[in-house]
Amino acid sequence: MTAGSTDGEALLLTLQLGDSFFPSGASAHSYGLEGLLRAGDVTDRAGLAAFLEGQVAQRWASSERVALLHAHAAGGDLEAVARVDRYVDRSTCVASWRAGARRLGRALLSTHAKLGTPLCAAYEGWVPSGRAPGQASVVQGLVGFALGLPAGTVARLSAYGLSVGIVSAALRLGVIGHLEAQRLLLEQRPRTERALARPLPPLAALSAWVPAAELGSMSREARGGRLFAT
Amino acid sequence: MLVHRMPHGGCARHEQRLCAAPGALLEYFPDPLILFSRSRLHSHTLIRLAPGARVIAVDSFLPHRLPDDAEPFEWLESSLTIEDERGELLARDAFRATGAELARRVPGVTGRFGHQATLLVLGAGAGPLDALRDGLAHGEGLRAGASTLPEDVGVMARVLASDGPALRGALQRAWSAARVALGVTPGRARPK
Repeated sequence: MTAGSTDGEALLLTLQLGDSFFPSGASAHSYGLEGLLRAGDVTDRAGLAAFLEGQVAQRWASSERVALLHAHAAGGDLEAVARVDRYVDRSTCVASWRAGARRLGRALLSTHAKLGTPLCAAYEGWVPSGRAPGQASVVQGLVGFALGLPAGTVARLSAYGLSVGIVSAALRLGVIGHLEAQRLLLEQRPRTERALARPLPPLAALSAWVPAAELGSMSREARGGRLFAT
Repeated sequence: MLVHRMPHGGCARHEQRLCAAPGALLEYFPDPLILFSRSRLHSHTLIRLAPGARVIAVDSFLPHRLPDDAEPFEWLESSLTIEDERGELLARDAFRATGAELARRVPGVTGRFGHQATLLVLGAGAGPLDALRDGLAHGEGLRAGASTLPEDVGVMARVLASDGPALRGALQRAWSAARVALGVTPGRARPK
């Protein structure tokens, strides 16, 4: 699996990777939304839109985006990718987020290894020993590089996946309907572009400021059973 | 610690390194950082954890605006980094908070709460998790929870509160619960 030789082929590949039909291992991640709904902190469409904006601006842009771009920039050097991977894993202090991102990353890696995407089978071999945790954002960066996709395209796939995850969780939880879900995604688009335009900081500056979402997920961890992965 | 106004630019930097020797019990429980209007602070804490060492550490902040302050604090860049005795990274918690975003009360960021605290209990794996959860009663003006840190290094509690007394009360309960979980006497309220 590679991006192919034309822009059209690269676009087709991007559509394939971003489609829910692609077995990426992505399940509906609510990123703490379920807990916030239960606590009454998010009750309507406006609250949901603000939640989505906050997750992209205060977490994704300074955390997953940074990890993904550093993994992509490693240029296929798996040792460098694994260093990013371990740093991201040890910077994720909510257990269910850490485990959820590992699960997603490993599933994505497994699919690409089976499809013959370069580097993926080798990197997958590093997971069982713990040499590579397999964090989703890092695997996305590695896969994107291996397929020959530009870093910006891979980052947009990641941001879109996060946005769809949150909006679809809200849909299933009955906060919004299908059309509102699409409107929210449209509204989020320029905000995501602004987040993408930020300069890439060093990996050591990886950070996230979403304590209320973390608490939403921590309350789910404490309760045990839940509808969503995180 | 007060972080005063910085109307003429620049920023303050606060860095510290805590080393817990083998078998030590280290407790670090400073008062919250109080961020005045238009202040900017880098605050970085490194905890080096030797085998058999136990640590309880607190990091917290709250914004402070006097009646004539038009603006909140500008930003706080904060990190807590935990390493083993060889300097290998075990876990880190880092965030960049801004007064402007705090004032927007974004759900999922800080919501309606303006005060934030983190409490770490290190060196006893996931053992103190249930005690911390029990100690952090959810109530009006408060959201709190706990989770396990990477590499089985310990447990992290996060607290959001709408005022100083709620924040301090939750931290006091969490600290006391952490002490019991580590097998030492419960913490007593400290005189001010």
